[in-house]
Order: sequence, then C-alpha cells, then structure tokens
Amino acid sequence: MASNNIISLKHVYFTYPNSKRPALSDINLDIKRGSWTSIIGHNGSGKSTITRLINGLLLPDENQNTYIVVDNQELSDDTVWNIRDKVGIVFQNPDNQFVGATVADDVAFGLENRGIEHNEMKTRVVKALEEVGMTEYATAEPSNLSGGQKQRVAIAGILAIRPKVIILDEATAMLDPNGRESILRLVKHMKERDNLTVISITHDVNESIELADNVVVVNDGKILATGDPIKVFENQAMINEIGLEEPFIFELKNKLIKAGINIPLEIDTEEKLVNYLCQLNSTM
Amino acid sequence: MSIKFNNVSYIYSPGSPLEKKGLDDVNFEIKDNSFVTIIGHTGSGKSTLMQHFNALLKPSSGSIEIAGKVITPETKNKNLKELRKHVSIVFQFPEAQLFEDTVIDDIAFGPKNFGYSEKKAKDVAKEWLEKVGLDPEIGNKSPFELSGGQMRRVAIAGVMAYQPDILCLDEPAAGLDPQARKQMMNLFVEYQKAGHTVILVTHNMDDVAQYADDVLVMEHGKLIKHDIPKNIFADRTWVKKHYLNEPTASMFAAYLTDYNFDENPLTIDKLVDEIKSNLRK
Repeated sequence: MASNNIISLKHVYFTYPNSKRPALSDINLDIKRGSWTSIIGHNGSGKSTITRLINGLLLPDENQNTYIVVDNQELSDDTVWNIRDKVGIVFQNPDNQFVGATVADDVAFGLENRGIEHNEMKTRVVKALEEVGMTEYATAEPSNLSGGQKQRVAIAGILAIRPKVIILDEATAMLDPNGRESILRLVKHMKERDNLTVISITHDVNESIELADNVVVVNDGKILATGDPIKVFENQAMINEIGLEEPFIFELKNKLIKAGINIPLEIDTEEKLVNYLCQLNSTM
Repeated sequence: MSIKFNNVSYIYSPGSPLEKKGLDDVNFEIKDNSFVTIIGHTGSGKSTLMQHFNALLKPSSGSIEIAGKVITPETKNKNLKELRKHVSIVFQFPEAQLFEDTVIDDIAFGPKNFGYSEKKAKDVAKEWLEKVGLDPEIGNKSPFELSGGQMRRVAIAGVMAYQPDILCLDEPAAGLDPQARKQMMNLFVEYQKAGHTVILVTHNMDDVAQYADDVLVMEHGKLIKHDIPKNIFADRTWVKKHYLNEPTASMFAAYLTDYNFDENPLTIDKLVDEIKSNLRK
C-alpha cells in the first residue's frame, strides 16, 4: 500500500560511539510526500543526525520498536542502497563534497558509482547542469566557482540521480543573500516540477515561514514541536528558550504591542501586518 | 594609528593570461578604535582588501599605512611579524586551522608564537576560552571532538588571546545558530570598546545596521562607497543598483508606502519608533 508519507520514523534512538547520552531519543516523525519540511534547532541539537539516519549514513540504536521507512521501504542492510538513490543531501560546505576535476565530472560521479550506462550518464549530466543553470561551466574546475555556483553543482549531482527527497543540510548558510535566494528558488522550482519532497535543516526561521509546509523543532535530541510554521513560531517563549530567533514579523508585532499599538492576534504574516498598519495610518 | 590606503591597486597573476584586477585604486582612511564592516557581493574584492591589512597581499601599486607601518609594493616579507602581532585576520571556516592536541594548546599557540612565556600563554588561553563563551572543562579536550560552532570559537579565541590592535574577520558568524551568533557579535563589540579596531566582512545587513560605525562597499575591486550605515542605505535605488540588500527593518519600512519616515529605519527598534510617531500624527 502506497503511503501518503514518504518518510516515517518511529521510536528512533541514536547514540554516538563513546558517548553516554543519546544524541536523539524517541524520534517520531512523518513527512508527507511532496511537502517542504524545515527542521530547526540550535547547533548541536541533533537535527543533522536525523537526516543522516534517513539515508542510512548512521544506524539507529538497536530497539525492536524502531523503524525507518522511506518511500514504502523499511531501511535495512538490504534496502539502504536503494534508499540512498531516493534521498540526496546537499551539505553546508560545498568544498567538502567535490570529487571531480571538472564540474561535469563531479555531476557524473554519483551516476558512475551506480553503474549507469555511459550514454545515459552523459544525457543526465547535460540535463542536470541545464536545470541548475550551470551548462556553461561544464568544463570549469569546481574550485574556481563561487559558493552559490558550487551549491548549484552539488544540486545537479543530486538531480542526476533522480531522487524523491532532497535534504538541504544548512546548504545555504554560507552563501550571500543573493546566492541563498537563488538556491532556494531553484529547489522550490524543482520540487514543484517533479513533486520532490524537501527537508531543509536551517537556523533561518524566516526561510521556514516563507517556504515550509511543516516545521519540526528539535532540541536536545528530542522533537519539541511540529506543525504549521506560523503556529509553531507563535510560541515565542519556546523559540527564545531554545536559542532561536523569533521570525522578524513576530518580533516586530510584539514590539509594536509593547509600544502601545494594538495589533489583533490574527495578524500573523508580513502581508497582513503591512495592510493593517497602512489601514491604521489612514484612519488616524 | 589610523588605517590609510593611498591609491592601492592589486593585480592577480600579472603578465599572465589569468591577469585580474583584485583592487582598483582604493583610497580610504579608518579611524582608530572603530567598528568597520566591509560589504559587497561575492567576488567584489572584500577578501582581497582584507588580506592587505596585514600584508598577506602587498599592493601592486600605492601604499598602506597601518599600525605604524607603511606597506608598499617594495615591502619585504622580513620584519612583518611585528605587524601581524598588531593586525590579525580570521578567515572563513577558521576551525579548519585547528591542529593542536588540546583546546588550550591550540589557543596558546598564537600568544607563544608572539613571545609569551609558556605559562603566560596558557593563562591567557584559559581566560579567552571563557571569554568566547566556552566551558573551561573543554580546555583539555581535543579540538576535533567539539561541535562546529565550538571549534569556530576556539579558533577565534586563539587570535583574540594575543589581543591584536586590529582584528579582521571574514564572516565569523556564518552558519552559527542565532544565539551563538549574537554572543559572538557581542564579543567583538566588547573587544572594540576595550580599545581595539574591529573590521568585519559580512553579508548580514542587520549586523551592519546594528554594529558598524563605518562601512566600506566594494564592487569589482573598487571602493564604491565609504560612509556610515545611515548614509549607505539612504538611497534605496542606489542599494538595489549595486545588488546589495537592505536591513530587514528598512525592507519592511519600504512596504509602508503611506508612512512618512524622518529617517529610513535600519533597526527594528527605530522602525517601531517611526511607526509610533506616524500613528500619533
């Protein structure tokens, strides 16, 4: 039976070797097919560990109640390679993930690893580079690219495998604002075109508000909250307590209220706040 | 002891097919003890400029006055150690440069290199470990057992421990979580207040608005603007034309089309004040 959820984690525990405390405990998480999920939490909260469990880079602690299902397949020694074809990860520092001498070689690397036939490989590389707008750099050396261009190449390498899930592990954290925006726009476009599922690990609450259908807050190895980003971020006390920043729009709203300006509760997006403030000004 | 650039140009690989202008006739003066930010998009020359502050790169033409020294194209690499004690650069991903067996040894390396005794070096290392907000207990751990954010702080402590007069940092807070980045920015502000100059390369316009006394804007190796944040962001069309971003508060203010702002609000507190005064009118 095909499930509506592309990823399901049940009772997942994980302890790093030589560590006494589990890095993750009792993680239960369902991710809907074709959705955009943000996983947020401070440095060291365990958010990256979750994604490494999803594609079997790390194995959960043994526990008979634990299971991880990706695209209707339970993760096991037999299915891990299959599952890795379905889940691509883009990491934070692009310099750590380049292997090819040219951009095209680099995109081909994953395909070669999977024994894809040569002609098919060539076609896919050309197409993937086209999709990320890097065709003219096919023969360039990766080290000569800007950070944003490197991340585009990394994404091309993943698109070439034709995954169902793309995980952005703080993939835009090191980019300048223009680079970041162009990468997010690209991923959003690919997601909509191919019905990809996107999981973005980020500190950027404003990105979550703008793009995510669902947000997962991780703290101290546990899931603290999940749900619609606006609803989750309204819980100001929780956001502050775990060391994240309130989204700009909520911070502004709260400061305005403190300054004696009455803002109704239902004003929870930038657009609504702008409209409300303009209206307030014209009626004065 | 201000910093002065006089007609500084820098050419990468001169005379080769890859010849490229890194800096193009740059002139400016920075006052002592200020908090300076350098902005501009990727490839605009920000890092090239920064590498001139302690002569990692020397000008192809022009001269630089910094920390009581004059750097010209003829300056020899000998005798630069004294300059580097006074002017230090922290590059992106400084955590990649950790190498000692313990955190304390790593922080103490810089001070020892600049002539501190073994004991004095370890003492300042302990002091700075705490100043950057780390638990003293990790001092005996290997730096490679730490999380990325912790490693970053150890690397920065290693530079701050010998207290250079001029501290230059390239995106030091990128990739850190909001609380860690706030702590780090506060650390730099305190360092400036204690009588040092801090020069920060950043893409974060909210940090520029909040912390900078002075902003240098680079584009194609040229210094296209040098001013206080208020004046840098005053002309929205100019900011857009040069592919720069505005601080979040000023972007929001732009949507409030029927409001009259006495001054473009660059921080959230200024924005709240301006909204309040508009609604009172």
